Amino acid sequence: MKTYPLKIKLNGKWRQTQVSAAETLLHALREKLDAFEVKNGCEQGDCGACAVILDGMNVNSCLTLALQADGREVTTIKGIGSRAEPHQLQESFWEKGAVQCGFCSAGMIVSAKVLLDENPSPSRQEVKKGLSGNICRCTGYTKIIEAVEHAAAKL
Amino acid sequence: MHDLTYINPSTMAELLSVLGDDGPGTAVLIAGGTNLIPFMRENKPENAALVDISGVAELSSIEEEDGRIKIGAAATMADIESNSLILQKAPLLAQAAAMVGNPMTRNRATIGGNIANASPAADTAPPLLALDASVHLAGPGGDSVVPLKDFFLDYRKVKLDPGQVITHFSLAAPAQGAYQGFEKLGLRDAACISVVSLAWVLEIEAGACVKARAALGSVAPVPMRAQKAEAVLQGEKPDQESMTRAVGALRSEISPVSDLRASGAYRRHAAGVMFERCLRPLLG
Repeated sequence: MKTYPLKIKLNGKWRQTQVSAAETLLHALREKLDAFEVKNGCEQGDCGACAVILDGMNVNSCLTLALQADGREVTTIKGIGSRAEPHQLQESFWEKGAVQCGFCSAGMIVSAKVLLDENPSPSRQEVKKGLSGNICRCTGYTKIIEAVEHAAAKL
Repeated sequence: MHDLTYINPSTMAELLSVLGDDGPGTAVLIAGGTNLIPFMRENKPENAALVDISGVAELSSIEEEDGRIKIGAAATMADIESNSLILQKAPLLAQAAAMVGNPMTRNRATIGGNIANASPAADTAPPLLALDASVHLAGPGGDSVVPLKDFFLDYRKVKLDPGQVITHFSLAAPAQGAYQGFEKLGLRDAACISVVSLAWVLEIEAGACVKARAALGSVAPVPMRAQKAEAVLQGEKPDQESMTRAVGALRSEISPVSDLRASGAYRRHAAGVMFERCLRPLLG
């Protein structure tokens, strides 16, 4: 199997591994770089659980070749906030009850972060549009939308 | 995993050289990958090279040259949705780009991929058809231009030979003040494949329609122009009678199928309703 070197700046740290031509960024992140916080929901770009930030844009890592991220910055939920220093979005999700099983949450917060970076005071409709690539099977979305609005107000 | 070679040209010259090579097997072009990556999971290419064109800067520019708007094949939906030239001169294309998939796929999906994939539901196809766009191709045999309406050959088949690449689309901006728009009917408000899509460009002068373009997706094996409906409107003052005839003509020339999203009968009905709604403001 032909492999190629991959170098990405993952959550602020340069990491290296070997990947094959058709290997997705999702696969490289989970299988080679221990980034298990990035979830595999559908592997075809419909659910958004695998969302990461690539050079400032939220993308489905399952629809990006690992090699297409070579030399670039990738941010996962762990690069957005931590237990010790949570991002306001994580605080708001907690406070508003926007997390049930948690499987969608990492990708949802990635998309919410990009939304708020581009539009710090979104309308409810803009929040819905910004999160329209992230599916949640548990919450019915209401708490998630409230959490994003709460975070927007506080940021 | 497949044993593919990965090639990442950074200029058109390099890309053309790769395509002209007998090199490492068939070239499979990838840009955003939003269609290709799921496709490759089920259809593993053999003896092939994955040629990544997303690094060729010339392929993603959007500019105006000699009165024509040129859109690079690797321009993403996000690029097109927010581009000031498109928003100013051909906003229906920006409206369509804004409805492809979801925000994340729009950050990666390209207009070239949307057209080359040749789904009859491709959202950028109806606006490009309504704008009389041309497809510009490059390959080992040289450059060529094909009107987009001649580019769709059959269901999921376009006039793209092995070794050819779409470099850009070109179109003439509609006249100032032209009535234009795009509507997508789907089973949900985002992240869906259209049940029916409609794009229109109508140029009205002294109350009469001097140019009528209407194009639809998901109502035929290929994205199509509603030429019978256009002929009804062409040269006429839009009134209730001609509108009714135009809607009837549109319904007669589409050939929608029944599938998991909708029945053919529903699509035929809905297409007419959408067309009528787009014409109604013209009745004053």
